[in-house]
Amino acid sequence: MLFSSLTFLFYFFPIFTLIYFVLPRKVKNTTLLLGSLFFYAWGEPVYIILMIFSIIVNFFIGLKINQSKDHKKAYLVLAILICLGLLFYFKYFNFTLDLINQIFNLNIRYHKIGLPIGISFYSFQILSYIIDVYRGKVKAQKNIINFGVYVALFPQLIAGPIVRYKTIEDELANREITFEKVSGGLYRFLIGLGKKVLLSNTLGAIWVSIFNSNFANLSLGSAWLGIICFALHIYFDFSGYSDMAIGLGKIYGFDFLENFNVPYISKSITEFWRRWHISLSSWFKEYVYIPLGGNRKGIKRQIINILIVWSLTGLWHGASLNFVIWGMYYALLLIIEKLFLGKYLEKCPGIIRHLYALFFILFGWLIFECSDMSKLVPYISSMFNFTNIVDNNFLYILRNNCFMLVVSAIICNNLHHNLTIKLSNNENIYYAFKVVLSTLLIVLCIIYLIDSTYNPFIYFRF
Amino acid sequence: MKNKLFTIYIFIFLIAGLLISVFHQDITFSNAENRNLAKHPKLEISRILSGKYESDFDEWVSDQFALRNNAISLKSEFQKLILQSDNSRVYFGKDYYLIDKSTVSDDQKLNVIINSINNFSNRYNGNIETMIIPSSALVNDDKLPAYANDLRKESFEKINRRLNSKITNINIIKELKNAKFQTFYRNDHHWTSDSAYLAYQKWAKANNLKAISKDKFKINVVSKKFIGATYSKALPFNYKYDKIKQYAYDNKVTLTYSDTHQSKSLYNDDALKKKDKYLYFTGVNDSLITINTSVKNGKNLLLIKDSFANCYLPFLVNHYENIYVVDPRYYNAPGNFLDDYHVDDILILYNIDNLMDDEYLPLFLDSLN
Repeated sequence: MLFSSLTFLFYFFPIFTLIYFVLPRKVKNTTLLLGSLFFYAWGEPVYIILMIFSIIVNFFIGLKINQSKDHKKAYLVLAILICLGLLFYFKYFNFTLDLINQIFNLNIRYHKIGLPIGISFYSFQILSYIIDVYRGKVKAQKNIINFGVYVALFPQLIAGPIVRYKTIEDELANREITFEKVSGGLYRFLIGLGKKVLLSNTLGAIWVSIFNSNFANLSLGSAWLGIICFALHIYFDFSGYSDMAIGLGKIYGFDFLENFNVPYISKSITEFWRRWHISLSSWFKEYVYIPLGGNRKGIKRQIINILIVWSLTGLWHGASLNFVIWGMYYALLLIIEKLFLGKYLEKCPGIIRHLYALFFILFGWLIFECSDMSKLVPYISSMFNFTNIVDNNFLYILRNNCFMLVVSAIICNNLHHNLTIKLSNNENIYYAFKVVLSTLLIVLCIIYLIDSTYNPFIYFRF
Repeated sequence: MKNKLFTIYIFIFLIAGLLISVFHQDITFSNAENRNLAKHPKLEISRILSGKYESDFDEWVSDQFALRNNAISLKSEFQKLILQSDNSRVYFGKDYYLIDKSTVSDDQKLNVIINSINNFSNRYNGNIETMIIPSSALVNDDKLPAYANDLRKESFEKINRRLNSKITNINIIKELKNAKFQTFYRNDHHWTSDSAYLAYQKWAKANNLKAISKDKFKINVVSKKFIGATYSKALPFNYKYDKIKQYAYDNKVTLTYSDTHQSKSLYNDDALKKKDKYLYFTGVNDSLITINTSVKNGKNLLLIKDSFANCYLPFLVNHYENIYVVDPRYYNAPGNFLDDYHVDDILILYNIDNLMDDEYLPLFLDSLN
């Protein structure tokens, strides 16, 4: 099920939430687990078995690691093999065979395997739990229901954030549900829904129309506008989902860590990755980069570590070569910044550093989006085609979407921040503002969601 | 206290949505969308496991949402408010024009179409005429929002340029652009009868025929309340009705439809009481309609056409004894069709948007010997 669907908004969410509120504390976790499994099964009725399997196996391995004295490591390796094995099989098996076929010119046939939704997220959550238990940072969870809730919790199940076990360990056993948290959570959810439905979808459609057009006629303006729209689209999509997850978490009593921190105001690539998808980059830092030695084993080793971490980060985003290249691209930028560019950048004025970072982020998104690598070069040449700078298509898209683009620019640069602070000085005004904004968002999102399925069938069209 | 109120306020919205959805009586057919809406899906284990039940349920919730049409109207009005001038289906044009927006220009497909027409003209020795009717966006560019650049313009120019010289191609875009009357409906993608008459004049000239002069026709306004397909794509609160005109002429015709039922009229009065009033012209599209006229000149025409031809027929029937009206979407012609029916002339009459959105014309032409 998707948060941005009428089924979720009008059926699952109100019914489930009311049941959850009404039931006594003792059965709240069971309710949450069953609700989450139902939520997951709505989109993936078969793969639910895979998830239940993962929960049961890793629950017992976690216990074993805690109890065992001599075989701790063996259990750890077993759990990692199972998690990564499943992830590899469902996400990368087709890709690997394709690659082998191409490289060795073979023709190994295989059945296409569908990707179970959220597997990249919940596998990483389980891994972080198992490793932390092994390291003695957390105690193994003794209640399988609680562990199941940690893995399957529906707010973060489909698109993160990747919640680390220790951040919600206490809340799994004991959490308060207050009107303050619920109303805060609802507000946050609506903000996220608005980002996804109103901004992300609109901007995504602009990108698609530009990216699918004939590059021969693409003006410089359209090419830049297109990739800027994609950057905004993916940010609002992803951070919108994180907002909805964090908001829903609050409603049920959990506090998840923030996942995005206005990434597009960054003044370097290093800073960008501290602000973008924080739960993923900190996961890789904690469980791959530091165990490999991080920066403690000399600069050569550090560079190798960065390359490993970033090719994995790239691959995590999808089983396709362009994601690996995208990861390596960032590894390269980060290494260059670390080695010498960082020092020079510090002396530059802020605006230069900002433009530098945005320029390379936009290029990164282009690599990210070009799963068909043959489109990359023609698109880039359109971006520097000074013989065709502005055309009607560019002007039309710009004029047509001026409102959405201005709103997007304000939000992704956090320009509304001062306004909200001023508003929150006066409690009543801030409250009124929240009510009006929430009402607008809920009405507009419903309208947009309905419109997206509106399909006038013109049988006499022809 | 405020937090409690806020929580309750949001839940009222959600629960109202739930109740409306649960207690709303299902509607089977949507007039606005002109299609059957999704029904409540059947609950079966196999359908649940395959995910079919879930996706059908999602569709049902959305299709049957009580205020569905109002939501579309509200979205259109909101988009106008934030200065958007299309909703990706139609442009919100000037003077209440709702004009189809084309989003794809497929060069490969266009080549297939052009080649298929040209190849056919090389195989066939008789007279072939083509009339590609531009879309409203191409003719009414003064009604389009600023900077709008319809993708079909290029396709239209290309096809008119590249058709074989053996073919008599009649391009009417200049005439339509210069016309002083309303060339296309505001709320529908079709051309008006006035435009069809204009095209008829040019066609007659190209065929060395004398077009029947306008004053010989009795021009009746048969409906003043037409809102058609482009209106359905936006459902705006404010719109302006279109008029439908009939060019009546004293000519006896017999239409024989593919299911052998016959009609003595080119018009279908029942359609005027329904929403899709353009169906007034010959009714629903049929695979093959044979029109026998009181013009006893022994000439037979094969008309390969889309719905734009429906309001053009009243002019054509005055110049042929038999017209075979073929809609390639539904009709598989036998290979020897042209001999069997003693076809003298062939007219391909298509609107550029339909031509580009549909793959049946090349298939049909390729099947003719």
